Amino acid sequence: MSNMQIELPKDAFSRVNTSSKESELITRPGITFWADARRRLMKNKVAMLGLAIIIIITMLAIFAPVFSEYTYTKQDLANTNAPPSREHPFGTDSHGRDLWVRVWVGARVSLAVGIFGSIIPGLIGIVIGGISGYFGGKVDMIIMRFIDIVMCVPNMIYIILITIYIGTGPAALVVAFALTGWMGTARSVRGMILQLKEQEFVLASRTLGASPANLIFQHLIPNTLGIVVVSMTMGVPSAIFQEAFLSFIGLGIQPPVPSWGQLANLGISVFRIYPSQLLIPAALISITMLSFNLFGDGLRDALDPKLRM
Amino acid sequence: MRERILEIKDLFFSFDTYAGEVHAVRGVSLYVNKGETLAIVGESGCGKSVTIQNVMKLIPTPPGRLKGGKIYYCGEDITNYTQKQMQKLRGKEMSMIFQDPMTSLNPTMRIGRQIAEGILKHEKISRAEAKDRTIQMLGKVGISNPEKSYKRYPHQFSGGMRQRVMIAMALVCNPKILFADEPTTALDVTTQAQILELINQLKEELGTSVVIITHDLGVVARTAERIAVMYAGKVVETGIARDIFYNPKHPYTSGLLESMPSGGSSKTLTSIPGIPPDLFAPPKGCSFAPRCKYCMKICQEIMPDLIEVENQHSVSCWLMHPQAPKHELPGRKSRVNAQNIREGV
Amino acid sequence: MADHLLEVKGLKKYFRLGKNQVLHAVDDVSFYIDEGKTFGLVGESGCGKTTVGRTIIRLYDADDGQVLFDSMDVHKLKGKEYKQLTSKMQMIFQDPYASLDPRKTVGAIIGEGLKIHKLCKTKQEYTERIYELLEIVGLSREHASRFPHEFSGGQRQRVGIARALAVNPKFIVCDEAISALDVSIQAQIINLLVELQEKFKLTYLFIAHDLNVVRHISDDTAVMYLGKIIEKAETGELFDNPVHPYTTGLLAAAPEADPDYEKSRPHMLMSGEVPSPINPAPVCRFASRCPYARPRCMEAEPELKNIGNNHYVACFQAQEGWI
Repeated sequence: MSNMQIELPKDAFSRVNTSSKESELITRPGITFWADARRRLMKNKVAMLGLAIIIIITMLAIFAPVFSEYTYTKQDLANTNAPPSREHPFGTDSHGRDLWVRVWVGARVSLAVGIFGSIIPGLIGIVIGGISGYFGGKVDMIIMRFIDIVMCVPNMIYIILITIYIGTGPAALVVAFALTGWMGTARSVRGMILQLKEQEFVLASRTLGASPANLIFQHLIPNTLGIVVVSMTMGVPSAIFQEAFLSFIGLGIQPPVPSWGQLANLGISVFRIYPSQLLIPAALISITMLSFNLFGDGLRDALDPKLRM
Repeated sequence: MRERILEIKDLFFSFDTYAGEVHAVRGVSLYVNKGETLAIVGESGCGKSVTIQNVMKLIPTPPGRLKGGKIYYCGEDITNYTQKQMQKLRGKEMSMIFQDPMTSLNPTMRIGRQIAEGILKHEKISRAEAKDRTIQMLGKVGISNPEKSYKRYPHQFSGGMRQRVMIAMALVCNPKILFADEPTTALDVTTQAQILELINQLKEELGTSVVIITHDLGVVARTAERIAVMYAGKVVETGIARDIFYNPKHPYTSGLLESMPSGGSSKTLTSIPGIPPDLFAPPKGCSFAPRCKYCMKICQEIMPDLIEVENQHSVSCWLMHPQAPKHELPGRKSRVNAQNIREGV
Repeated sequence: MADHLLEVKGLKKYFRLGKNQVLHAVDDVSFYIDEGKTFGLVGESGCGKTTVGRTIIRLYDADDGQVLFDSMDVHKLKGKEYKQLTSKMQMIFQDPYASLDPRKTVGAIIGEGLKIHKLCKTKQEYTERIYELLEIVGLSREHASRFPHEFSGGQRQRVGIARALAVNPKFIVCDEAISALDVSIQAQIINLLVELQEKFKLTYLFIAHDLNVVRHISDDTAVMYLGKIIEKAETGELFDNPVHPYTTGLLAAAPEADPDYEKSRPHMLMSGEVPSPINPAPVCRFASRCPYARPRCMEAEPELKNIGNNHYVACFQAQEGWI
């Protein structure tokens, strides 16, 4: 029995004026690209776990040494190589220094070098990649060939040479990373910009009379932020590891300022007898790197427009 | 009554998204007779592709969700078939071709092998036999030099040629029904004409039923025997081609036909104001009401049922109610002599 | 004061694809458009019509020939003069999903031209002008703070139109501006374009592959094939009396929304496919597919000639009345 056969009141068929304005309404709640990405990211449990660990470690790095009575240099030669206890949660090293404090001060150094050692080269990479991609032609060719040639030699060698020249210490390391780490980002940004350059919205701006600077900074680079943010996030574990490696071989952060790599270096000489002195910094390096990688992965998925729902 | 190859009854299908449920298909009923071409027409978002993809069960669930309705293939209820059961049907009983041939062609595999493997999956014949049949099919779809082309890769063909390869792949096992989802939308006019002619020819030769999904009314006029017009997830009108074009009964169909340029003198086209509703929040009552110039009070309250008003001509509109005011909805005017029209069906 | 608002003379645009491979995208194209008129340019993919449009507004540099806008040579302008020109010649693009910067609000997109050309003196004036433009194209003020992905295809095209109008252009190239839209939305946008043309005395170059739409909106029409104009006439004349075999083939292939007519008409299919536009031989480019081809068609290139009534054809047979 269809509803077409039911008897209806007469006024059911009275004419109604329909306004077209109503029909152009957007009913779905507005959501910006970043808000949508954030929502997707928060749903990714593994990425959130990574982020949580990063936050915990950062908090400990900032606050743990503050709340302790020990400093990273205070020696207590009567109490060397002690195992973990309530007094010294991570034990002491061969000079009687509290390892808990040393690890967390070291964390400050390693994290700072890692984060700045990724952001600064990232920014340099954006600008150079942007210029290369936008102008194309000879400029692009020169820059890309330069990158190709320079990247033939492993990064480490440049960094070691640079630190020999400008000295060691956290600032010097960041400078060394900045000078060598921009090339990967430059390449990916340049690639994206080559693609974006031909997109109609860029052509439209050119048609409106926008200047190259306008185009690069207002349209092209903002649309590459997705991959840049991911690239920078993934660059942190790489920088942390590089610092750890350099300090481990004695070239990076010099004592008495601790860093995880340096602590691992000190720990190795007593590894057979007191394994925790190596294992603790090594474990922290690994966990931190893993957390940044997991978070970066989740970030990449969240920012991928193709996965939008 | 002709045999119904495919019948869909009251299909309801939704997608679960971040913003809530998107009611993509809201009670679709239609059928395809054996050996005929049915065109499903509608604009983007009306649910025509989703409906047919449901028949082939190509939509991942989640986020898709079948909420109700039945699908019958040759009389058999396939609504709840598993993917394994569907794999036996796909390619052998029912096939699909898409707008972009690159979605069904593996770019790293030679086309001949792709097609031959399809045959071998469904039929127990030798490799050599499969190859022969493939080459034969390639010739049938108009690929020049089929033996040589057997060994080529998809990227070595032009857009029109790739479409032919896709058609060959779809029809090589002689399925009973072919679904063509916007098969010529991405092609040039002249290539489109060739492909439509090819589909028609093969259909006659092999006796395949064809469902063609499109938004192009010209393509519909050229190929379809029967037409189903969809809007906002529902079928609003179905009928034979002549009835739909010259004597439409639903205001949306009429509006669509009127908005096409027809070489008249006035520079203003009669367009349908507004945009289709967002199926995230479908309106109460008839979904076309906000844009309809005949809108009545009842239209905003209750969704009208799809009922048959003439032979094979069904409409879902309150104007069909015996108590409703009578309106003559404008349709297309044929170039062909009016005399001939009256002499026809 | 120029005779014609836009004059294209012998325009050529080639793309070099590697050693000795030159793609003749636009090969010696000439036509003119008078102020307030619409010129339709049709052809299938690869014929060069989009390249013509982009070269005219100097998104591409021309390899040869001239584009004269208001008697000024578009490709020779520099600096300030060039910048002024960009506000007079605008373009509406095909893909509503790629023609708006996804990171900017609709208001910012429309206002970009206002900022570049410093057309508004105060922030208030700027905001008011954006609201005004939104309403002119049939959208509303609330839409200014929304992002492109929240809109439908038709609405995005309206934003694109508003963006072009913001700088008060005289001439707009509509590059397949409605091809990606649904039929009922196409009608809305066509009506809008016609309305705006009357209101603001605009001149259009309408590039499309849909013959029916071009017929409806253009005053004059040209058909392109492989980089050349092969037929050109006043619209009614072209569609009622097509002469070039390609044009007749095109019209025969295009399906019409008329089932009786479709079922009764003979299906004349054009054979083969479009040959490559790379290094074309100096012969008639349609000869390989032409049912009327004669030996001389494979020996030289026919020029575009007036066969009467301002109806131009590039075909030896047609020029001599054999077709």
